[in-house]
Amino acid sequence: MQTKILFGATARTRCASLFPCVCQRNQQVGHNLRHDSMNSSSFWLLVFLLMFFPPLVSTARAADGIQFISDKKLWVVQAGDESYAFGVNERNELQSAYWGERLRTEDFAAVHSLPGWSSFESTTAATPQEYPGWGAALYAEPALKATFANGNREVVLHYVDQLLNKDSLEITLKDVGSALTVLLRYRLDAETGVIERSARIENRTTEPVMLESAQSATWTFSPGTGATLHYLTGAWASEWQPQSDILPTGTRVLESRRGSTGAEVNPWLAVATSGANEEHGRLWFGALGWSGSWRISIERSMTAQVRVNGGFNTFDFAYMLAPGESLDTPPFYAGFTASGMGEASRLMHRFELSHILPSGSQAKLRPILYNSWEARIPVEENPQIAMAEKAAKLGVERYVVDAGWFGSPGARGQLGDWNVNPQKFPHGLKPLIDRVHALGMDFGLWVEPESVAKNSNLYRQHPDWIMNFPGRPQIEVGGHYVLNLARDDVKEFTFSWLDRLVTENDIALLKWDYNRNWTEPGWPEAPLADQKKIWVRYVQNLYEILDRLRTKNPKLEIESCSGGGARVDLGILRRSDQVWPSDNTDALDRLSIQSGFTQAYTPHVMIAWVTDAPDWLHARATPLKFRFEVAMSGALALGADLNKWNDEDNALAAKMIALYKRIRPTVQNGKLYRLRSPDSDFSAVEYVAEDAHEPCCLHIFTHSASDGVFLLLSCRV
Amino acid sequence: MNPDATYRVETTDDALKGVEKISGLDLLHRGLQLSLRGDYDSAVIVFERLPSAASVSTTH
Repeated sequence: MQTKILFGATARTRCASLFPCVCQRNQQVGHNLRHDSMNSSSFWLLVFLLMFFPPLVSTARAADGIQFISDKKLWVVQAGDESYAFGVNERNELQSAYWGERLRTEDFAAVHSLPGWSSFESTTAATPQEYPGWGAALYAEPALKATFANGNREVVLHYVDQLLNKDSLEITLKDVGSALTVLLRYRLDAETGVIERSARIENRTTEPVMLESAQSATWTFSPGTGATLHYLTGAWASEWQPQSDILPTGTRVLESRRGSTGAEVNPWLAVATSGANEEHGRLWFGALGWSGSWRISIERSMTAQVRVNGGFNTFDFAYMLAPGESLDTPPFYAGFTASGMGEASRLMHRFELSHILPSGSQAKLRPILYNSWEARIPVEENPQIAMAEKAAKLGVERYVVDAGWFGSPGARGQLGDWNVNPQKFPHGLKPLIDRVHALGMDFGLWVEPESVAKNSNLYRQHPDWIMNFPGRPQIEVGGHYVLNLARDDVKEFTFSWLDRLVTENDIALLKWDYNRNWTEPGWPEAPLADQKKIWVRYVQNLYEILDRLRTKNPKLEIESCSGGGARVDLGILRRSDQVWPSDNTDALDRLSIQSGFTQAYTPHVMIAWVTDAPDWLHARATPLKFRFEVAMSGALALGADLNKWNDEDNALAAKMIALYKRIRPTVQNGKLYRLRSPDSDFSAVEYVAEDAHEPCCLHIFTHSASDGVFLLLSCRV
Repeated sequence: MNPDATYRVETTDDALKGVEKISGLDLLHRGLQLSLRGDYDSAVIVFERLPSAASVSTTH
């Protein structure tokens, strides 16, 4: 049996900004497609299901995978309806050949360098390389830039050899003037066509080499004129706003210099051909797997060729490689579809479910959790137990205690002193946890391990553990600083207390928060030449802590939270089971936040709370049923003050939670179709269960009428 | 497309009360009528395909 769920929601017309100071008016708009229709009291939704098309899989073409055509010195990656090809040219450079709709393998020719535009223009500038070093008249963005001990600042990479398996490939490149070596790595997910690329840069010389740019990959493709760049921007409480700009000739940069992923721009992008939309058109899409400062440049040449380069942010970047040392870049994942933005999202969702999330294809469905942070229930033993009892009656499966459980009696916000506050929990957390378990739920706890407060014992004992430039002012943000996790002693301290906390208490989930952008990113204890490694080592150590915690505590789950949704990327998602998209829980705003979020990331990980109304941000009153159905579009959770709910509210909540438990596999692991954008008078999304035996098709058409909207919907898988 | 399939329909929207099963043919040519009223109205509709032997009994 196949299950499909259609969510429909009506909405007030909203201002462009989510902030209340900007949204001065709520226009009364009915549910018609026509924006001038003000009096509609209802609309008709016509649903037409066209089902069970035969699978669109051709059996005639070559098998998916990576193939090397030796006589052409060419690699061809075939997956689904996509081909990706590159080869070794006559100069022994690794040259990009093609990325787009699937072609026959035999149709690919050997690559040859391209001529310059004029007699005084080098061919290097015109010839797209898979991983260009800066040198030899390269004017495009390099994937690698280095300075050698003798002062040479040029890297020209030539092909050496390869190691090929069916779905993975490692190509060795070497600088023509030194033993600086790059292992260029490709891994194909044949099911989605998503290609993972990364590079290991090895110093095989006898002297140190300073890396000034180390990118994960360069992707080259030709979207033609009028191509559009799609990306996601935001700020606190208004994350995940989709943006699209006509891609200009020249270079466009998306980046974070904050030390972490950031909410301003997310490390995801798509480039679409002119006219592409949710349902149709060619798109190249990709995302970085890195939770530190990152950079993606998108260069469009005069010939409309596009090169996308991404990896470590080059700002303030300097990574000294001693002889024998190496640096691994983050993975850069990318794919192609000819079926519009919706399909690009579904491919990413499937890839994330299968290859990114910690449990991969075995990823456990997200339990319905309760968290009292927004309800402001006192973080003390008795009020929390009382709230847990109310939540359990509704069908909640996990109870999470948020900030406020730690520190000294009478103190507030003592980040760094991760002992249970004896005034609030005189018997420790055990009585609460035992009660939560007795109620049939598991237990989660909020932590913010990377921050330290000035009023904490940790800061007094280890003032040198925070990032700092000696002798210079230290900016205090929100009353706290950032621990320098790049230091191994800080890393070990952090792992130890977290492991002790999880081991001594039966904790199923750590809600790992991070509410501080970097300032003064100094590491004075490190040798001068290594101090800028802080940009890389910090994140590597963060990942190591999370990996070790999960290995030692296999049942432990992690929620990534960062001032709302400022740390969501494919690097943290390898170590997180769920993420917090935004502190903004207003159901109307959540429609657009969730729509933007799912452009790049699966709804499986998208925690969505039902909170109180009027909401704290806009003072907007939305019905409880509306709030539930918006939250049921992701990983349903509760954050309302249940003490305020009456019998009718409780009955509705229990009914909705029971329904969600039935549809949860489809919502969290199925295929998502954004039928109508929240930008309009109403929105609709559909989730279709994955079922290889029951493929079907979906199409959507809209029609306007004087008193309503007529939707023609069809399902497809 | 399979117009002969039968679907069990469940919705949180009151307007669909009385519709329990519907054929693909009916959905194709007539569809479902939903009434959402006013601001912040919403509905979750669940379609479950029934085994092919199930009888079709459209009631709306």
